[in-house]
Amino acid sequence: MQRLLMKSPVAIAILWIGVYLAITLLPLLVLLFYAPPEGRGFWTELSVALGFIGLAMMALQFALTARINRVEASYGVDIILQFHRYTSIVAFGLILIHPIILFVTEPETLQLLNILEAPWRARFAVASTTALIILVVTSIWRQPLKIPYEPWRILHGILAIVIVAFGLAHALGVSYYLSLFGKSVLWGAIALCALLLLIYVRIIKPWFMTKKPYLVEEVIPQRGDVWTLALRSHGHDGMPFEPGQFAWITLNISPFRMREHPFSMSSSAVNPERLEFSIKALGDFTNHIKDVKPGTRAYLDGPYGVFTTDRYWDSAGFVLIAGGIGITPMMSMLVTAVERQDDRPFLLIYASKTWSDVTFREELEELRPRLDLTIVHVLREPPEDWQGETGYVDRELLEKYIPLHRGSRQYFICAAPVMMDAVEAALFDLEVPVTNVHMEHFNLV
Amino acid sequence: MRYSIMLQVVGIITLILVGTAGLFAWLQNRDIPSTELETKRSRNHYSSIE
Repeated sequence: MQRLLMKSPVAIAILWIGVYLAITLLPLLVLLFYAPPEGRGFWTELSVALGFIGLAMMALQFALTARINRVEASYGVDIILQFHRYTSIVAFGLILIHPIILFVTEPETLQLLNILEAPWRARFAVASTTALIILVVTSIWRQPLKIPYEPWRILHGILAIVIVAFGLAHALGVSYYLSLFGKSVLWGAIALCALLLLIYVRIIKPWFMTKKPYLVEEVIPQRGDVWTLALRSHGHDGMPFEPGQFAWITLNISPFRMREHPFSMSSSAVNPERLEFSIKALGDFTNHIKDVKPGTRAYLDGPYGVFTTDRYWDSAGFVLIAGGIGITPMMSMLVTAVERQDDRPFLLIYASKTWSDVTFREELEELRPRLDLTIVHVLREPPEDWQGETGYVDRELLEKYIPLHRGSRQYFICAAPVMMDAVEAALFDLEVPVTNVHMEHFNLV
Repeated sequence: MRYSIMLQVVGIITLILVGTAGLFAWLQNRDIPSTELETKRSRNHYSSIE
């Protein structure tokens, strides 16, 4: 599968899209085997169809966010989460259009909105749709609404369950179609799968995590308000990973509490028993990393991600483009390359605000003689005597440094979203093949 | 770039889903010869009894 993905990512994408469409449309296709109901009219049937599709899409969100390695391994968690966001908005639209069609074509159905007198099937629909509206609003505008990450994540999970459970109760209550035997079996199977995924994510996976604890060995201060959290495996061999991948960390609490945070490993993949995560103090959880005491218990869920040089063993070399704390996965790639005595050329273009802010500045200098490594620092606020590059990583700067034979390298970008978009567009302008460009969003959620 | 490609993919998926919903609504409302309909209905009836 991985070889096919390398050779033909489009074929794999079409396969996954086909699977997604088949599952979403299956409830409708099954109905075609039965005799159509009489006299309901085109618009009512369209409304029903959109409702079924919307509900199936919402149930599928459980699979998209369950971090199933098979799905995730094809494209990476950030792509899957972005697909989850876009398809949620589509499902939201379909679910809202579903009653609006009825309200327009049969105005008497507006009475169903009176939840005091409406039948239970309508109350379930109103509750499910209200939960969906709250979920969408709190997800899209979480930061402007100043909702902290951990309570939001718990609320998000609860609302998702309410939406699907009440949506299914509404469909069962209407029962026009669900009374058909095949249909009820299918929806029962979909609901069961969603429930099993929930049990897997909330119970089985955390249980496995408790079997492989880690202890904090040290917390090392770095330049740029970054702290490196070093974990040592406790009673097991650690977590084998590929350089550039990330894991979800649970610190000092039980993994069953689902308060975990994603961070890239910054250490060498050659030593899976000692894992380092370099974390910038940016939010409520990351601000407290510096206060973590050695000996604190930690749990890891991972590794995840396809942002790794290991997938491109036959590449002639690598171009790494980092902005700020985006250096973390690059550091793992470089130290791993040194330990493996990789003789391929590495070009690191590293954007920082000031010279004193450059995380891993000294460590990178130490790697230089041990690897075919070219480092280009780009500073936004350079010191007066600075001779190097300044400003932003733009088309001109990239053209100056990347090899003439663009397709001979794999390009890795990890930075803030604005820089990633700009660099990606510039590489596209410079005719770097799209399939050679790999990106990692470090603010997944 | 990747996200704009994905936006297009999600756009195509949406069109396919809405198109299929429209096709479904049309199929359910089309005129079916009464003999075929009766056959289907009686088959449904027997399968629900079973």
